[in-house]
Amino acid sequence: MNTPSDNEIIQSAIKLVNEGLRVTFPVKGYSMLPFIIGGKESVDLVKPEDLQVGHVVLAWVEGCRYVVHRIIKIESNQVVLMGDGNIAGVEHCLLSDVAALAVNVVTPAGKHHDLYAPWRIKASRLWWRLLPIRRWILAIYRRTILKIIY
Amino acid sequence: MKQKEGFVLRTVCGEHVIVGEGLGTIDFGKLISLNETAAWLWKKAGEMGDFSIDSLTAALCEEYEVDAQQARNDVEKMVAQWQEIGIIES
Repeated sequence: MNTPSDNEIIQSAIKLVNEGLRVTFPVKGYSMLPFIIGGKESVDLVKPEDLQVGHVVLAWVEGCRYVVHRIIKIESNQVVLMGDGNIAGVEHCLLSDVAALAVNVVTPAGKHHDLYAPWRIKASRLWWRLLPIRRWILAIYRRTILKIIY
Repeated sequence: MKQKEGFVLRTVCGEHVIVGEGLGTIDFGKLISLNETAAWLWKKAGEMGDFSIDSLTAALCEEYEVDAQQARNDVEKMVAQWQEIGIIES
């Protein structure tokens, strides 16, 4: 049995999302800390509709890779994304490259939490304003809270 | 025995997998991969609705040229695995 590549698995998930199904997909890496903990948590993906700044999406960026990151800017059909857990660097894609919208974060225990609950929206806006000092907050978070939670 | 509702056989990345589609959600963290025979057995069990080790063994022997005892052993193993992961019920 050939092990499918990450891209093949993601494309299978996208196909199902396009059929109108909701797909729970594991997230890798720490690029969406502190809102999504890669390697532990998953996201529920649905067909992307009415995309807005602040939405977390699965997108094919820079013509070479898939990311699950937050939209920070939409201009016409151009989209700019950035990982909440990143301190620099953005990704670019077209609206048509956004393959799925993440609506929930799913804990290892299987609890589904709305990514756009009012407090999470407020927290993500505050987090954006904290960009200049994210580096230090994230360092503390990874050494303390992250170890306590999981 | 019968299959629990919401577990559907699909092809993902060319592999046969059983996916839980409860509430219309497919969890990619919990895909159950099946080989060709196991996928056929799952499909057959679904068609039967209420199935047993005997009925699946008989169906397997009809479909494939396989020794009856070997078929029974394979079915028993498969059904035990389905029970263990909780995708069938008595």
